[in-house]
Amino acid sequence: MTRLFIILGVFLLIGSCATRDIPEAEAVGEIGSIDAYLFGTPGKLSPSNSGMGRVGDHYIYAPNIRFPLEKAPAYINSQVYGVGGLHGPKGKGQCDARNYQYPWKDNYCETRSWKMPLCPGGKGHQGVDIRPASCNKDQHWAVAVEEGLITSVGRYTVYLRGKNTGTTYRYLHLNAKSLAVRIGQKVMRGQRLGLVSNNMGKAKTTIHLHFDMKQTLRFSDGSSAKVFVPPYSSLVDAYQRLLSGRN
Amino acid sequence: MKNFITLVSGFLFVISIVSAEPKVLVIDWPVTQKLKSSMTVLSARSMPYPSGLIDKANAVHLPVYLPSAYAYQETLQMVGEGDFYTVTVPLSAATVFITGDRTYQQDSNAVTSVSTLAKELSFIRAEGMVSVDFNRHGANYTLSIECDQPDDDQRCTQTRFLQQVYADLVLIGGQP
Repeated sequence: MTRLFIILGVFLLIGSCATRDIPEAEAVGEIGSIDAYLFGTPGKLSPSNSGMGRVGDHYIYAPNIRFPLEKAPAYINSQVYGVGGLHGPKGKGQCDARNYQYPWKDNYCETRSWKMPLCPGGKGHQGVDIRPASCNKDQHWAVAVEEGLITSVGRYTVYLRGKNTGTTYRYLHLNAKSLAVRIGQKVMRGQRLGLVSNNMGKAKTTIHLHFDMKQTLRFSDGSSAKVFVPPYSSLVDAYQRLLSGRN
Repeated sequence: MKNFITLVSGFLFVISIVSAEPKVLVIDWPVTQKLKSSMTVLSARSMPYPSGLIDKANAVHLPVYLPSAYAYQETLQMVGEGDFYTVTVPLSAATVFITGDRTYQQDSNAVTSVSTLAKELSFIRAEGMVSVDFNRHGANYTLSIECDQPDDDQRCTQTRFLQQVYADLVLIGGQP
């Protein structure tokens, strides 16, 4: 009988932990120690004149997602302040080797003119820019980070809504002719969506994937708002699993 | 006794799985239904909606808004399941989207720093698109436009076009 009470107690404890209204950070955790060779610190933007990130926020907003590019290596760094960017050193342009090396540099909240409620200055970049393994367009597949539904396809954007989390993931700049999905299609985690390119309608951008995540925040008064949340820590977590073959 | 333990542990396991699903916001249905009735009277004088659209709208559990000027286009596509929907409207050299969603992923106390800007209605131009996020009846919506020529098309370089679309949104469905 004593054993029964102990077992029941353990299960009740597990049940109460799962159902009480606790902050998500406590439930799913923050990114732990990371390999400084591979990854810059979440929220620390580089170069330093590129704006102010969410320093100290290591929270994984989308736990256990798959990395949005099919294969490593991939490089998160600035398209605007990086080599060949509008405000970066000229170098050899966007294909300069310095853009294709570790460590990653977070660029969520990088200086932009538009409203971003989670950025320290109230403005900034809505997601992160990811360069694929090489500076060649239309060669590297972007894939679904989570099982879900393709809710929309725009001129240069694919929208995926995660089945398990309700998060909206945006993939920008894929080659429109390469898209392997259509509106209303259900996709599995890791399923190919399209090839990373420089598509921005008839305007062109650099060869990269802009990836962002939109979630709804509920406030203590019961009101709520949709915001772009920081993807960097979730991507570090996903990339570590990709590298170790634990996808 | 062994069966009893198995039963209890199974029950608790199911509870823990269910609680991991996205959480749902409360919709003010009485206000929504009243508004929907008044809009239905207006829309009855207009063109019919595309075949099956109202059935799809009434299959989701939140108020469904559409841009009234484009709600009658046969080319619009609606996808939705339970607590969300998205409508995509292809226009000439541009695409308009509206997404409604009544789930939430985070409690704000888990996010250490959120500007009050999150609740302000503002039309922004970002990544070549113009968009606005807003809350109605307890659900959250995003209305946006994406253009073939984001740097030249006035619908994407200025906010005026989307402001007009926003002002003319029409409630066409949704059920508790």
